[in-house]
Amino acid sequence: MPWRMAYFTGKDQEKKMRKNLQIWLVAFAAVLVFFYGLDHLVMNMQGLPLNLDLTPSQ
Amino acid sequence: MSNEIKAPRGVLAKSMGFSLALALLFTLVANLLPQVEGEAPVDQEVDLGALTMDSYVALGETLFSGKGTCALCHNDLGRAPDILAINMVEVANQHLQDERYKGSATDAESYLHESLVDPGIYVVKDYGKKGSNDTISPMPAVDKSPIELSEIEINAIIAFMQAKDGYDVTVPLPTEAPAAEPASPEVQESASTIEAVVAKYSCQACHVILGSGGDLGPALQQMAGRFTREEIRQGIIAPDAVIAEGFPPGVMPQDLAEQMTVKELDILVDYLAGHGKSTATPLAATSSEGAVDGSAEVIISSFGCQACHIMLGSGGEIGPGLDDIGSRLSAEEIRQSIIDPNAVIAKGFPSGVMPLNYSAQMSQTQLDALVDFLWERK
Amino acid sequence: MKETKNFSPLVLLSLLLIAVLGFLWSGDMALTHWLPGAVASEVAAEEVATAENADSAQELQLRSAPRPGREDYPDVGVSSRSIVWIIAQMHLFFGALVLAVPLFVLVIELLGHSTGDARYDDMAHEFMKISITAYSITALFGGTLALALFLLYPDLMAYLMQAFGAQMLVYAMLFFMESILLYVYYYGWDAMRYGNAKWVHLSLGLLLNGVGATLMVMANSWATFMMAPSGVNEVGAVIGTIWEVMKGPLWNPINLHRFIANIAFGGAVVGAYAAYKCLAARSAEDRAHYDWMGYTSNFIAILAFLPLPFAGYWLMAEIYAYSQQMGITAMGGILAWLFIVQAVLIGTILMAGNYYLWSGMSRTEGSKRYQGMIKYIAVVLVICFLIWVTPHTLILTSGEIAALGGSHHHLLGPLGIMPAKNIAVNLMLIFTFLSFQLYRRSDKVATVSWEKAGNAVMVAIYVVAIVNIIFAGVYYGYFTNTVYKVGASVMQVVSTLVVIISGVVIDAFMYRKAKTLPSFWGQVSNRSQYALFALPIAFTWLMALMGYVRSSVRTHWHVYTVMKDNSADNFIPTIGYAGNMMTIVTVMFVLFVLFIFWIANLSNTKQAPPLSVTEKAGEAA
Repeated sequence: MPWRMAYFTGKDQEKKMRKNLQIWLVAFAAVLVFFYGLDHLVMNMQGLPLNLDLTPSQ
Repeated sequence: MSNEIKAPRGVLAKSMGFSLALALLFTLVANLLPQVEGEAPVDQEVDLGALTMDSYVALGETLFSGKGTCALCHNDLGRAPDILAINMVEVANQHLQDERYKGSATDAESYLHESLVDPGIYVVKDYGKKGSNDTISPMPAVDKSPIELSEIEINAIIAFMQAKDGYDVTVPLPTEAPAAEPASPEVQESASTIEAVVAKYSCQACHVILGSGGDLGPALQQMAGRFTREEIRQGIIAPDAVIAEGFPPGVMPQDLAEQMTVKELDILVDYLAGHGKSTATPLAATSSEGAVDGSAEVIISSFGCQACHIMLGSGGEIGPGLDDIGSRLSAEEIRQSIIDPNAVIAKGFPSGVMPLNYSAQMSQTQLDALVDFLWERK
Repeated sequence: MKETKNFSPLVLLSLLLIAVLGFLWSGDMALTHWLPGAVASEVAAEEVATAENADSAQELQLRSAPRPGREDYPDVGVSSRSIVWIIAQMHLFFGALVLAVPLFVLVIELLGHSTGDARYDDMAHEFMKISITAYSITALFGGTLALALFLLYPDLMAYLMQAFGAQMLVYAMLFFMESILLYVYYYGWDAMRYGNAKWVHLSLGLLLNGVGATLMVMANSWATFMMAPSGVNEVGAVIGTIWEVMKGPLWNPINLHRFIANIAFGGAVVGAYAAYKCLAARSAEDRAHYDWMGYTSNFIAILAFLPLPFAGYWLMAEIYAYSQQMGITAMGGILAWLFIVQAVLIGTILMAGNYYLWSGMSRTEGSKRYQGMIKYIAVVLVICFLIWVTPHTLILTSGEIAALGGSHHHLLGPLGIMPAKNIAVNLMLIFTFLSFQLYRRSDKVATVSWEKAGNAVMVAIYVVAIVNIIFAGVYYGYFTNTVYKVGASVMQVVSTLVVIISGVVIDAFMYRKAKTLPSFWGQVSNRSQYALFALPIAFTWLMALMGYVRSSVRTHWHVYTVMKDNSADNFIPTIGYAGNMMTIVTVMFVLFVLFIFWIANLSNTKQAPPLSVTEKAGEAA
């Protein structure tokens, strides 16, 4: 299909790389947020609350 | 033909050799490490007569890292306050001033004592069990299992904690237990009947005589014909001279010769040798439905408790004194001590001496009355 | 006739199994009324006086734990403890094997049934053959153990009988059920091969595992009671119901830990069997078959091994919660060096497992794209292992202390405490899982459209998890107080679990309808098979080591705080002595296992008839 083949022309090589970068950035951001929330959850469940900067609040 | 591969040789030898070599490698690692044996604590004799305060403090220090197992947690790793590095007396006084302090200690010594036997009363900040917000202490009570320090040992440790920072030691140095006061030498009328003699000297605590009694010593119902008067007399005034087979020496009081009057001894020997006659029914130390006066004093005398225990101001020292037992044991523990004496033995007293069959001999009412009475002795 | 899959037998039997297990395990059921186990259940001591029936109340005397003196212990001329140690350890090894094998046999059988691949079914059947012989040996050692215990520790056993009462009888009776189920399951394999009969067979396997697990948890209760007695008062008199006696604080942690560890152990042992047969194979077909079997066993072993540290951590946490003193004795006191040996063993296990996976990559061409990562994984594993093995407290002479500048090394000392070790362990687990994931991907090429995003997320999860673990360990471990330090280890564990679970899930979806590259079973170096020998040796030795910890943590008590040990062996033996004992039982175990394998082989062997017999047969024809 014509629109797929456009991925392999020189101009779109740049687009492809930018799209890759976007994917990776989004992935990392999402995972960071997930782990940040997880840290708070796990510590809170044990009765050890944290501040926003992950320092102990007790 | 391409399915065939070279016949393998020595697979068993190689694989087993490899396995053995690996196992031996682990053994080597284990043997290269520092070898420490965990000795079980052994009771040590301490000559109380020769004890000085310095040696008492040293004893405390030994106990700190030995039987007391204090050093296991009280070190610089953060599990518990680092006692060796802290000025304990100063810290004790500080904690007493803390608004969280709800205990009953009034000075450093009593605070330290309280911390040892009831650690949960006040938990130092940040050292409480996780999630308990410093209200539950992870420390065990040192006078209970598994540490089981005696009062002398506890005081030794307190002495050590005071002395190590240069403070005066305020705990008393343990001395020999004071010589037991002889049972009050009131001039008493010499007992004049066999029943009175037996009751006065609590023979039934250990012997079956006049129809009932304990089995700590031989039954005395059938002495006539088996023993001469001399042998019976000797059996009373010098009990350890000849021990009946199957019975332990050193249990029967050795001082009946001093306590008994000549007349009382004669009455007893006469009776045992078969020449006396009893005039009254056997003492009511029987089980269950005996309609006896339920007062504790009567129970105590009928069961001969004072043969071994100080009660109502007098008695023997074979067992612990019971005039303040209510402040040491709960009602349940007192009950257990009567019906199952060997379950918990008071420190410093032998096991296997107190009669085991009081539960069969006493009625429920008598037991209750006795327990209530003892529990009120505080 | 159309064959319909009839799920009802499986469903019914599963429900039955769940009901029975729930009934037995829940602990709050009316089972207490017909299990006349521990006496004095409802009547507490205070009620003795007020009980209506004075006579029976008097009979209900609370009996404390016995207090034997040194002379009350029978002396057979050899250390009683060492006799019981060896027999008990052998019983535990074989018990673990006998419980584990039917577990993964059932899973493999189910897999075989759902994929329709007969190889799985045949392999499952072959594993069961090993289990049957092992079962008799387990029972033999169990009987000998009971004899030894009653002979050498009569007072302790009398007390345990007092505490557990009829529960021990239930245990004995359950063995009848176990035997019946085992024999029907094994001998009925070919008779119940297809269709509905197969479902009946699977259900029997499920029941077998249920009974086996119940046997294990019952026996576990005796061990955990000795460590942390429940349902008894301060002097050991039984004042609770049989459930309160069984369900101590350590019971379920040990149950979980042993359940998972059994699987890992069983996988390792059958892996050795497969490795041996692979090395000794005379045809390429056999070699391929056993290579595959070895891989499957290793897969089971490593998969079960990964969550083990967490189960072990829970056990230690419960020990600390029960008695901080006991916990510190185990990890900070006299037994602390033991955990360095444990580090050596687990390091061996992880490195052997990883090495096997890396070697296995040679089975397929597709692994070439990942082979570059192996050296980095290896470096991380070795560094983490070295950190884990670093001790904290060194026994030094005063000269050495002066040279060191203190009782701890200023650089290596901090590596000796838990935060550093937790980092090391979690990273080792993550990187092992990475090896595993790479191996699994080696012979596949994903065809899903979201492959890039999926891989980005996977890499992000690895990186962030690793950073999180290091952060949690370093910051909370060294810069906050004890409570947060301990709590942060949970954070690390959860991070590792996230990596493992997300890895499994993402791969499961990403490689749907994947293009598979050719891979050749048997196309693997001989060296790799030795990794499969290293695994059970290390596992066996590790099991023995942990048994030494479990027993020693009681110090000089038979039943902690309740019944003192006054025997001649009431001291904790040195780790060198213990190590020698462990090697003895490991060697014994290997010899017995060889015997089992030999028997399995023997049952397949048919002696060729001599000429005279064939001639006669020829004449008769």
